[in-house]
Amino acid sequence: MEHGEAAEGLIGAGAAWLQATALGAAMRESLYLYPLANLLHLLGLVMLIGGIGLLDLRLIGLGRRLPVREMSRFLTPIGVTGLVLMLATGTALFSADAGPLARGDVFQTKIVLVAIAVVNAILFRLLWQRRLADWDARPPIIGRIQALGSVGLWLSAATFGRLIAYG
Amino acid sequence: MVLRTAISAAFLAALPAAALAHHGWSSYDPNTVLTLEGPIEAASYQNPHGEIELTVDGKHWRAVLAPPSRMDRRGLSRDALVVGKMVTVVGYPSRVDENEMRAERITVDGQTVELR
Repeated sequence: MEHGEAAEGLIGAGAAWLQATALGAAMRESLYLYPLANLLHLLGLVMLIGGIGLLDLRLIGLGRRLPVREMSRFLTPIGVTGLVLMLATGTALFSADAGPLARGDVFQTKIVLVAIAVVNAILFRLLWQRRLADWDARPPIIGRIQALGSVGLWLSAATFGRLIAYG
Repeated sequence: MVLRTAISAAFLAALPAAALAHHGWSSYDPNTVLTLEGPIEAASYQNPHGEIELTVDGKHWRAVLAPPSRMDRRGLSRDALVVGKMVTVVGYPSRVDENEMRAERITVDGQTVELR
């Protein structure tokens, strides 16, 4: 990735600061906090992909007998809860070893993918939230591509996330 | 548009920038088995995994151990890794950092603990 040196320095300084916080120290020192955060991070992923991933499949065009608006009302809160859980536990896991992690290309790739996926999700809601009731009759092609992108982005982010441990 | 931008950004980001080996067994060479013996110079009993430092034949080594919860469960307590104590670690050298090795097992106080 192309970074300005200033941006690189800022990210490095932020990572060093986070690593030096009480949170970072607790995550390193406690026998069980780190595995627990790992477990909840995985639960968040299951909720995110299980919620939004299924909704995406419906938006793409599978399972057409199910009404999109009702599916969205049910699954979106599950997915958003999963994402929030992942952001919280991810910050905690990151804080244990932030400096070296932030310099790793696998971790950087993962964060970029998460950022793009979140922007994609926000754009999707801005564009289509009010028209979800029409989706069953007339699904917009752009929206369906966004849903496809959503599945691909979240799965890629999850893949790179898992690969951090093998980088 | 969003998708295309997303995909190209993902590919660009996937290009190796600064290959930094971190954790994982794949960045260690399993065909070279090292046995290092010496007094502990520094020790950390921390997540994501513990580490000790030692010098053998004039070369300084950082030996990556296991997550503290695993070491604790297998009977290698925090108190066992004290600076100055003699240890033997058997493991594999890093492919990236010539002063780093990943320990498969450690012997301290006459007790051998598997770390993988």
